[in-house]
Amino acid sequence: MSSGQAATAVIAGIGACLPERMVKNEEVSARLGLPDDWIRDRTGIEQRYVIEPTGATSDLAVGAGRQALDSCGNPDVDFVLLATCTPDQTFPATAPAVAARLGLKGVAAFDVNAACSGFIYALTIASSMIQAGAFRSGLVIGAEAVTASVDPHDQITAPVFGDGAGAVVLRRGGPGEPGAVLSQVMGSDGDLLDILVTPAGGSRQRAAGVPTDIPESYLRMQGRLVYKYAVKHMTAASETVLAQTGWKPEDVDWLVAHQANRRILTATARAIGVPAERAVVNVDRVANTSAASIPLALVDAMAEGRLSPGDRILFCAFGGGITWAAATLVWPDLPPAAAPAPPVPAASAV
Amino acid sequence: MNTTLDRVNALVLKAVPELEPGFAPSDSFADVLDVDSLSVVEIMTNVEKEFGFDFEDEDIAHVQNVQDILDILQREQ
Repeated sequence: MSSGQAATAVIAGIGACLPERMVKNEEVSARLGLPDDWIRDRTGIEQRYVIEPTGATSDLAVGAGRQALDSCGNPDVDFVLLATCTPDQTFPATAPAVAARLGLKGVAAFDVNAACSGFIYALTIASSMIQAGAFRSGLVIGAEAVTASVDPHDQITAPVFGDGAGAVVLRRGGPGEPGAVLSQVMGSDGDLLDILVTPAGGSRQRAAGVPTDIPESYLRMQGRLVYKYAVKHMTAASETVLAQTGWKPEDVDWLVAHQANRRILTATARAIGVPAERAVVNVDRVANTSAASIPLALVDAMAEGRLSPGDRILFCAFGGGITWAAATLVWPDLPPAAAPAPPVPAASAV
Repeated sequence: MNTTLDRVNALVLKAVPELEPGFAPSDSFADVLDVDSLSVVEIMTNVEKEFGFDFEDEDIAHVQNVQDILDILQREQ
């Protein structure tokens, strides 16, 4: 896909949401019987935000979606795409409930499950829907309550994941207007589904009649293979979109990669050829929030004054499936980002 | 002349510079040397480049120490 002379879909607003409860490494380390610096040394993570047991992904999605809509004057939107691999329930999709709670009852709404690659997948799908002419505007949300499916006593996953949401509003734009996806690539390899999987709860391993705390109901990760394939595919996908856009690695102002852990970020930046100081990093503050990580990183970078209109941005991500994706865009002129909103519980949703 | 063991040990130290030289081939990366899982992947990537082959995913998932790497190298050659 190239910008050409066709209509584009440009980012018009952005928002984020984080649970109120912040959990420092010390609490996780104590639970797992690890030294205090173990998690930071291996992952670069210092803390994560964890949703309350009564909360759900939709509460985070509504918080981020509301803030994104408010940031650009609460425009009409024609659809809501929710990127998540931790929906409120396996059926139905969570996006319709999010849309209704945002006052958008009646619009097209569906979930996109590409795990940690979900935000780029959803952004690409949404851009295509607007470019095709059938829709004028849309809300793209990445939201996850990952900790709800993580075994708190698993040394591999418990230190790594956190909860949160980020959202962007897309509107139809003119040719060459900043804020539109210039080039994208999405890919998958289902032969590797076992390296990152929650085995139970679907039709393969059914949940009916089975206790919810069996090991198969928790997220499992083969860390070594995830690391190997994450760096490999994020690098290849990034090189593809850079070539399609006509950018060299040194043209990239900001690499905004999925915040899996600092080691994967550093290795990917090095492999692509983007200097480490050009990689946006907030995994230290929010941990791995799956589909929420890229918009959360964007909001963080905006708050620190690091993103300027006209900056050339490279997105890349890797997740369960396995899936991967990358995209390029030129950063638009947006109002300053607000601090991430708190979750909006279902009863008080607007 | 450098032996295969010398070359692999050098690749381990390249990936984990803070490691004290003199570790034994049977020393567990995780339990004895305190090398984390992502460093193990970096070690194995270094070995792939040096020796010109690709480890199987099964090998990457299960390698525990330098001896395991030497065994795979012998199998591959």
